[in-house]
Amino acid sequence: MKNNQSGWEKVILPVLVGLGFLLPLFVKDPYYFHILISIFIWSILTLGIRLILVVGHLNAAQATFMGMGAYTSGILAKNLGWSFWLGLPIAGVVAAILALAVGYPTLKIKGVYFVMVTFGLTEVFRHIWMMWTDLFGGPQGLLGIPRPNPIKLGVLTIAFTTKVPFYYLALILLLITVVVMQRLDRSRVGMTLRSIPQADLLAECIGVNVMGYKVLAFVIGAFFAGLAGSFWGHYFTYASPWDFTWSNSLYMLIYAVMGGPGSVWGPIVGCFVMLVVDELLRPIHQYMPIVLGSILILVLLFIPGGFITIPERVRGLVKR
Amino acid sequence: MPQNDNQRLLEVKGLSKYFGGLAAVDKLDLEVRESEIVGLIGPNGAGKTTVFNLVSGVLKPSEGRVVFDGEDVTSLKPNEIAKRGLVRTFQASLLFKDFTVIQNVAMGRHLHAGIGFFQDLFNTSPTRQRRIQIQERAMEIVHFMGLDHYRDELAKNLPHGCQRALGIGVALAAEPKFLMLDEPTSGMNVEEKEAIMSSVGRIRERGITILVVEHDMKVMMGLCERIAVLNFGIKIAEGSPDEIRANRDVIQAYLGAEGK
Repeated sequence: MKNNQSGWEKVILPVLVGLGFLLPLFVKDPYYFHILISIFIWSILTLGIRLILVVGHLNAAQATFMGMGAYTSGILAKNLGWSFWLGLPIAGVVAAILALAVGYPTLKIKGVYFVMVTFGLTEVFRHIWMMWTDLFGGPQGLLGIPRPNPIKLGVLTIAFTTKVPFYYLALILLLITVVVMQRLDRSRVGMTLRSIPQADLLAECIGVNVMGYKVLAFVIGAFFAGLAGSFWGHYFTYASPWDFTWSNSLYMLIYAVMGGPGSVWGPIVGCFVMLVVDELLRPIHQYMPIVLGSILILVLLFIPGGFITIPERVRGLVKR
Repeated sequence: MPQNDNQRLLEVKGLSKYFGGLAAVDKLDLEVRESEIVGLIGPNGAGKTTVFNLVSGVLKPSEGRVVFDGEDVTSLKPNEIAKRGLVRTFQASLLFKDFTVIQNVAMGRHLHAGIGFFQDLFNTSPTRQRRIQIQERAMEIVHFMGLDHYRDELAKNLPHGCQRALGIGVALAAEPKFLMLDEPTSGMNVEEKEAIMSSVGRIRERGITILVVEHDMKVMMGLCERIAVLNFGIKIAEGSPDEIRANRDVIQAYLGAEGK
């Protein structure tokens, strides 16, 4: 199995990434770029939420960390005139600091407390963003976030006026996220994170600072949500409290589970499939929750490992 | 700082734990000297496992102190205590069930991995070197515990006896100065028991100090230099196996009830 996996990673993956970079040569319709940008950004968020999911905790505040990122770099750019390229990493760091402050006291407690606390966090920040109109723009959101500053490469200038540069930026952000998450998965840190839900007491007693690892997973996930949020704000040129609700965090969890939280590819496949389905069903959008719910139930019943395990299962059936 | 004048590795002083007014452990004093093998016995519910939980930091005592290697570790977290060289096993087959045998033991190398976070992330060449060393060391321990045959088997698929052996292997991988074994032979047949006890003997030959909780009196008598007997959370006797065998309180509390 392992060989197969690295096999497809060596062949199919570079092809996909290459196609991703060459796509603007063949596709001109901005609609498709918008869909792909959404999928890439949601994939980053979902990969972030997966990291703490692997340790056995449900994070209901990933959308809030995204919002933290959007408001942080949005306000820095709009009110202080800072460059997006500076605001982007700062947005990630601010989201990570919030996660550290919240995670440290709450990840200690087992059970449902963590999901409740993150849920509470979402509501607290949604209200802060709604009420503090002067700074955050209130219910209508923070409007007029400037587009990213153009990049000058010698004679070439990349201006963020069409979808294509945003598409490339989203693709690169996703690739960075995937590389970091994949490295984490294959490192000892990843192994230690996976060991914790199996036997946290044993891990603790052979010297693993279980608390520290949980906080680390939570903080890294929040950092990437902050990056995604910053992108989101500068892409749409506004940040609205209605975009950073707990239900969006729930969707991220669902996409991670549907795609398969066992590997970094699962959440991406989950986001891809579900957002495409979402788009296809746009004419009957009011029924989307029914479709989503049904797919979720079917996945949990018949492919508990998520979409990503389908090829493996098919191979198993063929062999039999 | 560490004062090992008498080479005392573990000193438990006036250790008590109350669960809702009931004393599970009552003012326990216990000493273990370096490279000793000490047994802790007692009937069911005598508080043996509670003692283990208190010493390893899993539970916080209501009163009393735990001094390890000259340092007060009473208020430390389990991972901090493990870092100082005190490692315990668990009575239940507590393992990383979805990891293979070799992965379980490699997890036990956590404290000795010697790989920094960013080195780990960027998979530098020294990191790869360290990984190979970890793997080799883990292999040795798998062999030491007689689990070569199951090396790549998932821990959850092992027979009970092998799971217990693996539990000891994981603890051993952490390179303890002091190893606490919680009923290492429970639920085993005679051959398995003998295999485990011979492993314990060989662990001791490596210079590791051992405190073992055990139900099986016969096993303990053959293995331990010194035995402490616990009954209802109170230490009722301590001495050599022969002294314990002759002690009337012990016979009444323990052997009288079970052995004969």
